[in-house]
Amino acid sequence: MNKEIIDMQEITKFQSRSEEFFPLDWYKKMLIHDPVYYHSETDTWNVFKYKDVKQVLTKHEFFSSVGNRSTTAVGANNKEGEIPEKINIAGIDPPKHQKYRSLLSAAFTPRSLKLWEPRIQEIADNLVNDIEANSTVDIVQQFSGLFPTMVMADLIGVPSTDCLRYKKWVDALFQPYVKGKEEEIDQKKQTAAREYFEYLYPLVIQKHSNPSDDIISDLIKVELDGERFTDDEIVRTTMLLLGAGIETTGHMISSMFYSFLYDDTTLYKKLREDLELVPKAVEEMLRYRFHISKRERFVKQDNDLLGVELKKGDVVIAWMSAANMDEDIFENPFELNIHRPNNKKHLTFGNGPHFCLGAPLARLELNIALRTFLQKFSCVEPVDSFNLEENLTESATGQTLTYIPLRALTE
Amino acid sequence: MTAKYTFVNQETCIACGACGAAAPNIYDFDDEGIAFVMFDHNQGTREVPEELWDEMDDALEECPTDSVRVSERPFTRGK
Repeated sequence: MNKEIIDMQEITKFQSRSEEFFPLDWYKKMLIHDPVYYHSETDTWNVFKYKDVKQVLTKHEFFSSVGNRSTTAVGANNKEGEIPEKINIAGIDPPKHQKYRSLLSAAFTPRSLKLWEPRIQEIADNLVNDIEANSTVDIVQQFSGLFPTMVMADLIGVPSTDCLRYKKWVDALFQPYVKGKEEEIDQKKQTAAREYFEYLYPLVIQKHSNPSDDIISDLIKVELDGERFTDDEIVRTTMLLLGAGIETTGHMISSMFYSFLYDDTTLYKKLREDLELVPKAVEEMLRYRFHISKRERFVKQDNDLLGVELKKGDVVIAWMSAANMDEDIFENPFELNIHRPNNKKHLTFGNGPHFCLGAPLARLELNIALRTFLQKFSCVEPVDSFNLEENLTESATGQTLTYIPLRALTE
Repeated sequence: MTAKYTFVNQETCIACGACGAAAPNIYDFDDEGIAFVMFDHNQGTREVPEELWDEMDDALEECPTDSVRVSERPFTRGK
């Protein structure tokens, strides 16, 4: 913890929230003119091309995850908000990494997900049923924010009736630092961590005597080298999982609806006519509409793998979302096309040993959310007065929608 | 005609589930989610039927850690 946060805004110099929400012009500029770019103010190397990003993420013997600077703020700087050493898997290298990762990964494997699928489907059914047809609804409030929160609450084993509170805590815990407001944001994070801890700790204690089919119960049982999680570590682990599982998926769902309304207005109907296309649409949305995926690595030994002299200790930022727009890999990358033959090659979930632990869950949720919505509503229409710039906010994923009104029609 | 063999390097597998999703007729997962080849206990010694080559290629391509291995010769494990 207490890593120095690298100020991304100094590198990107985005002029508006909307530009950060969909930074294709910037990616294009960097891909063409500065594919391997040294930014002196932050003392970082930045890579954008697919092959370079992939190398940085996969060659852990050259590019380590262990370092003292970060592009993202996770948790809080107090004892309640610290990420437990055991599960801080984003900050350690193989071979130790695999062992620690396996503590958590079992909960998200396809096999576990098969068991959980009916629960996830039920949550989607209930939310979609509650959406009123033929009137203006806010997808963020009624669907994209709630759905992943309820799913994570259910899987972790905490009451989903409290999910608006989790959302509030998670939003604070994963909020990026804004220049000049560091202190204020830090206080907010610490308060959220404390409240969350006080809320969850008694629930973990209860699970000892009443275990059920959920992640808290799994964490109570799990053992590594004869060592178990303490209750305190379990609380802080769920905090990380909630955060990782809520903002990301929620962001993708709201952005997907934005895309139906403003990128390609024919797409929703096409999907409705052929639900088999849903998985393809989900993958293309992950490539085209998920911004901004990026990860930092620390040069472990001098090398010139990126075509420049890198010295031990240098920081390299791999811009995965930019790599998703690399024309060497994706034909007409700046177009939304759900029929791409290689549509699963996007790097939104990363690559290499740190590949997103929650990817199978995220994919399942996105598919279920979209399919369930498509089955009920025949078309979605935008509301004229919508102003994108006014309805975005900073989040762990970059700029995310706070409100997106639409009319969902039934036949 | 060439033959194809496959196995999963379980030392580097991170249990992401990509191979089993792409090629459900070839790869399955143990309780920890670590992948293995179903029909030869992950030895890489039994030929993969040709009708499964397409899905095997997808799994090969989608594995984020290059743990899915494919060869035209049977694998001798321990190599």
